[in-house]
Amino acid sequence: MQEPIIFNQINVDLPLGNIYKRLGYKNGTTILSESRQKETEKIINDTLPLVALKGCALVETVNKEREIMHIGNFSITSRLLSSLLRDSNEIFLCAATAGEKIMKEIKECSKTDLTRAVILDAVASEMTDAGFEWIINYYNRQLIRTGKRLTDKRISCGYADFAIENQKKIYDLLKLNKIGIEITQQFMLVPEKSATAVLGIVKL
Amino acid sequence: MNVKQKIQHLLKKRIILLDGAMGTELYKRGMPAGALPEIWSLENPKVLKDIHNEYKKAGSDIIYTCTFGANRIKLGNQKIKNVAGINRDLCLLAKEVARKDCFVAGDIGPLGVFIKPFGELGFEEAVDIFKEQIKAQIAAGVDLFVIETMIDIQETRAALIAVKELSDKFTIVTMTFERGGRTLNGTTPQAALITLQSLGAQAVGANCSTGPEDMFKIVKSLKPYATVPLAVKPNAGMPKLVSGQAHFTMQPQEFGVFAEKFARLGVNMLGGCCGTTPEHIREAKIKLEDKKPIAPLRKSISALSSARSCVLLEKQKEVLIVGESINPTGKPHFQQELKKGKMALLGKLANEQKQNGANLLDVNVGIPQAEGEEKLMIGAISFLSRITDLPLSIDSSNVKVIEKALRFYPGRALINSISGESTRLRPLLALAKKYGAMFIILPIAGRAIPKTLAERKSVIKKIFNEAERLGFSKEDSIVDCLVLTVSSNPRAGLDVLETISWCRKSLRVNTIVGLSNVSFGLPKREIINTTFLNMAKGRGLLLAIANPLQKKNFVDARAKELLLNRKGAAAKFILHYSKKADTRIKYHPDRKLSWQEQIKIAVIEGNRDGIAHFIHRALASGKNPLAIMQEILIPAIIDVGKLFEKKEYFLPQLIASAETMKRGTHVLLPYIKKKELEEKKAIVMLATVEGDIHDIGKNIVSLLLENYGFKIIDLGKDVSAQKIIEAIKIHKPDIIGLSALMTTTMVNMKKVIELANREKIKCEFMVGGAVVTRSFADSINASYAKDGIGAVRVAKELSTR
Repeated sequence: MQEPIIFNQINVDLPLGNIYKRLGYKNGTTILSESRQKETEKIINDTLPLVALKGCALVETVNKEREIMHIGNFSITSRLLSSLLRDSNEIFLCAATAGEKIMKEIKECSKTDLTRAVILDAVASEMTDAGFEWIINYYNRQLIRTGKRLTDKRISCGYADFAIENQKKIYDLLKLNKIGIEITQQFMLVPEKSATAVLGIVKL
Repeated sequence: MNVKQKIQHLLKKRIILLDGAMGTELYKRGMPAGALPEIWSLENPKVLKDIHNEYKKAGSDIIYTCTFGANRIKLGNQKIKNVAGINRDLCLLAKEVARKDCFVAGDIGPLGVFIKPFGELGFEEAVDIFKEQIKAQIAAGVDLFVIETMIDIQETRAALIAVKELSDKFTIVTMTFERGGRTLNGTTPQAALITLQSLGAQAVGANCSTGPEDMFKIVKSLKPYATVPLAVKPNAGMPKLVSGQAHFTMQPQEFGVFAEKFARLGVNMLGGCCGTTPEHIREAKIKLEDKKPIAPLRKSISALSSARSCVLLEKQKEVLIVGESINPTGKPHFQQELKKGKMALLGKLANEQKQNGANLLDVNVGIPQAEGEEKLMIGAISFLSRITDLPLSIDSSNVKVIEKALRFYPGRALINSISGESTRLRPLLALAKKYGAMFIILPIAGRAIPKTLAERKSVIKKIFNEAERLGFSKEDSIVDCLVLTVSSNPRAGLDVLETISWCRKSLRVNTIVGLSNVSFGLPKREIINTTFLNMAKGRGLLLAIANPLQKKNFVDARAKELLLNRKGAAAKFILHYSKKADTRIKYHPDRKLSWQEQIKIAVIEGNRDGIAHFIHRALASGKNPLAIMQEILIPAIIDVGKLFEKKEYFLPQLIASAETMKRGTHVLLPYIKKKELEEKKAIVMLATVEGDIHDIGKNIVSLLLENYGFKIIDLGKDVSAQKIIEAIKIHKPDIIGLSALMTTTMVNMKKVIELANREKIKCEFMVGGAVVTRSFADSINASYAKDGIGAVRVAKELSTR
């Protein structure tokens, strides 16, 4: 089994456009006063030190047996996963998290300042997404030199027949405790703004 | 002439031609996808030698060894241990081909893992891993080194430090920039250049990632700031998928045209990366044949960098501000936080200073009588590198702390400061030299502060001469003009102004002042500080260690007189400003609007702080509280809901208005009869279902429903079906709202409704959440609420049934 690669500090550009979009901003339609925009952007900027974007990733050989995928000591049965890995002999697992501090702040704000909490929530979600994009980009950059690339599609546990229970297997394979993620008995990742994804590796 | 001198000599004569791609050539010649190029080429030495040979014949002055991934980590992933042997053999194969016809560059690529502060690998561990590779390459006789395809500036630094600690060989460093013009880790080309050329790279540039067209923009942005030759190795365009296969489509002739353009821009070393072939190099050779190289435009540069960006310390319209807040002296709370390893306050201070316009951040983490400053400094640098792109000034009285900081800092730092005592002067200059740092010259030698201007100049000259002797240029240093307080030394301001003028005119060196010292012990310090800053700017001051908020453009006449040591000015200043009472801004509501309009606008604009004032005023003038609620607040929030539905408002506006309404309601409630309220309210019970920990959506719904007059019972998140049913039996709500964010937890909504049916509970259910759809809601016999406003509409409908 390979050891997952840990990214303790992922630097991404603030996805301001996506944050606004997530908050329901529609270009040309939403009318935002200067003061409201300033307040929103101040909250967004104040949030940044609270987001500790981390991630990890792992490339593993996958042995396929119809809809059963054997990855190291684990087996996952899923038609969706099998279809994703149709042209792959290797699977790419990754995770990203915005960290605990931002979630703590959102929780606090939810009681006293929901406007701020809503904005922080959008920042945390979009930063986590940007973290994923970063990890995928990084691996594609490495893989291109070996004549390979990641699949365009990625899936996560809980989609279609890719059961949420697989989250625990992915959690263990990626050793997510190393980047401060815990998993509940219902297979939810904590802190809340944490997610995993699975991609295939195919020839260029 | 040694190899380094030969290369430097060649660079003066012509543009040096590097080789082309190795990986894509190996694939073309049979290497299977996924194979390690280093191992496959050792197993197929003829193929490797053929490629080297073809590049040599095409005109490459330098060929790269096939050791890009031959490090302990990448080889270790494939359970291969013989790092030294593999490096040696691959270098020898290249040497065998090169003979004396071209130079062989020992190739060093990324480790494949990230190093601190960005990853897990320790910085020194990374240096050691690179050294293992470099030692073997030196033993095999490589002529120079190339560190290439780097995306992480810290890893690049580790590799360069490893080379420099083992050898004096010519070293090319090229990083990989994305189409947006930065590395994947966010480093701008200029920041990379400033960091790497100051750290000792003999050539800096870019390779891989993009085709020549995009790389052209990168090089153009670098040439004005480069003190070393520029090197490029673009891909043969961007890969395009043709019948499921990736192809680099740029033909050799087109590549040659770009080579010519690169030469005109001032590129000094050129080759090709992915997709380029010996034909591409041959074509470049033809096009570069008669092109004269453009030498670097500068010999030195006054600039600092962080992991992501850089700041040029050249004459600017405004004085550059070095934020001074990150200093625990006199801040017990900050001291405690640092001792506990907590970084929240550090982050807040950095962020505030940046938002207020600081250009650099001074970092001092020395706590009196506390140990572990080295560790604190590394922790602070690590944290600040993540949250800010401002370069740092390393401020410590401890040489060892400065040494650790400079080695670890992922950019070109500023040392604050080097004074004239021999215990600091020589060791710190040596450190500045090794790590390419800039430094502040502090005109103190020994314990005493120079009393006269002449003494001050003498110390500055002494440090300056020693620095020049060690090969530093004027651009590497900044003179601290040593600001003392005018309240104890009336000439203090004048002395500083004269020192600034002298440094600019006689030494032609940049200056810095620690601004706030000047006003210590006086009233209205900010007026003195701002005035002094502007006066110093007039004399040519470049930087000030100050509160960024003082970057204002005004000169106070009384403060100016005080700072110029005019007779009686101090007394006049103190008398004038001590008398002046603080004037507080009083709140003047807009009198043109009626009270109804003021309340309504407060809700519509989300004026959370103003609403209570308007309502209190309305109540004080005898307005009916229930009428305020029903005729102003509720219609106002309905208008907000409409604006949100038309997307003229986005979510924060909706929530701010709802919170304003809530605060307004809170003021009104004590004045409204209980009976009047109870009659109006339907009860809504809300819960996020079992297994789901996401509750912000439910909280939004709760706030909005409350504003619309519903009584809310919020059970929280991750609530089991059984608990919900028990709560229904106790509270007897009219409506139960269930929320879920995940497809996997959405099914628990069904469980709640099924259990309610089994228990024969008659009650209306509404469901919502990111993944919930109308058809799912229909399938479980619940009403569907698309969003917060949708929930209000559904709740209104259900409550009137």
